[in-house]
Amino acid sequence: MANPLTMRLEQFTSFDPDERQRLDQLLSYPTKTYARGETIIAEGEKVDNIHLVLTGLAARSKTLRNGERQIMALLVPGDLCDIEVFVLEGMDHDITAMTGTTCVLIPAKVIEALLTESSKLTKALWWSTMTDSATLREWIVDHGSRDAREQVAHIICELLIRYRIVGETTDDSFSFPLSQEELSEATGMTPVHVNRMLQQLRADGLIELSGKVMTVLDPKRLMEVACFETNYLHLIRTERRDKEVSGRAGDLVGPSSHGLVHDAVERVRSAFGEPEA
Amino acid sequence: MPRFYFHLEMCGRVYPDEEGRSFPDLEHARASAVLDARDLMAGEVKAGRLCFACRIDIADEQGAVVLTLPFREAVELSGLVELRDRDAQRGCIEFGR
Repeated sequence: MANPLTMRLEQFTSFDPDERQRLDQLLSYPTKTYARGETIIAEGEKVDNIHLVLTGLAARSKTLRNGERQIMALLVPGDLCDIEVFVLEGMDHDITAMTGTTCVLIPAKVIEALLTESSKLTKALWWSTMTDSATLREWIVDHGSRDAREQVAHIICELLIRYRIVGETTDDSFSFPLSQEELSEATGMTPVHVNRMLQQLRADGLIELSGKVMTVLDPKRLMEVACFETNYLHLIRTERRDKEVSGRAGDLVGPSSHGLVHDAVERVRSAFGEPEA
Repeated sequence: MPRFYFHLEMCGRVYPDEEGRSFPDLEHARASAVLDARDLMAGEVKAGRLCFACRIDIADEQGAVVLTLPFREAVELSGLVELRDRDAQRGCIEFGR
C-alpha cells in the first residue's frame, strides 16, 4: 500500500530508500478503524499513541456548552492527528471520524525520538506541523474575510488539492462524506445557507455532488471563485516542479521562481520537439 | 427522529434540500429554520440588500410542505414607524418652503 505520510512529506523534501523505509515502519503499528461520528481522541485525553490517518476523513472540533460544534480542520490520509500531545498534557479539542476512518497508532515515543534527532525526517515532520498551522490561519481568514460562496468553494479546493497530493482523487472526484450540517460547523454558516452555496456552485457548472462523491468540474474556475492561493499548503517541491511529485497537483499549484525556470525550459524543449529531460 | 427537508426559495430561485436533517418535532425544525433565515439575511445585509419575500418551506419525509417560514417572521422589526414619520416630517419641511 502507498504510504500517505510519505506522499505528503515528500512535498517538502525527497527521501532516500532508508528514510522511506523508516516512514513505512511507522505504518507497521496496530491500526484502528472508527465509525462515522465516533470520537478518535476526546478533548482532555492524554494519549500514548500518535494517530496517523490512513483512510477516511477526520475533523478537529470543539463543542461549546450549548452543544454547538465548531470544526477547525479536516484531516485526510497522511495527516497526523496529535503529533504535539507528547509535549502537551492533553488534547485541547476533539478528533472525530467524519466517515469510516482508519488510523495507525504510532507509539508517542517513536515519534518523539524522530522529532528529537536531527534528520531530514525531523524537518519534514516539523514542516507538516507548520503547514497544519498555516491551514488553520487560512481558515481564520475564511471565517473572517471570505463571503459564503468563497468559503464553501475554498474548502472544496483545499480538499481537492490535499486529496490529490496523497493520490486519493480520480479525475478530480473525491470522497466527500460531509453533511450540510457538518459543512455548516466548518464554515460557521447554517445548513440551508451551505446548501444554497453548493447548489449555486453546481448550477454554475463548477462542481457535482452525488452520493457523497464530490467532482470538481472546473478546478481553475472554482479556485478563482474561492480566491484560492495554494501558497499556504507549502507544496514546495510541486512549486519547484520536481518531477517525482509535481504530477499530482502541479496544474493547480503555481510555480516558484525555480519552477518558472523549469516550466520555461520545458516549453522550449517541447517547441523544438525534444523529449522531456 | 423524523427527518425534515428545508427547501429555500430566495429571490425567485428555489434551492431544494435533498439531504434533510433530523429533529424531535416540527417545532425544533422551525427553530432551526429561523436560524437559517437569519444567517441568509445576514449575508444579504452584508451585501447591502434585504428581501422579506424569501422563505423556507419545511417538508416532511413524504415530501409534503408542513410549514412555511417567511424571512419576515425570523426577525423582529422595529423603527419602521419612526422612520416613516421622520421621512414624512422631512417631506413637510421641504415642501413647506
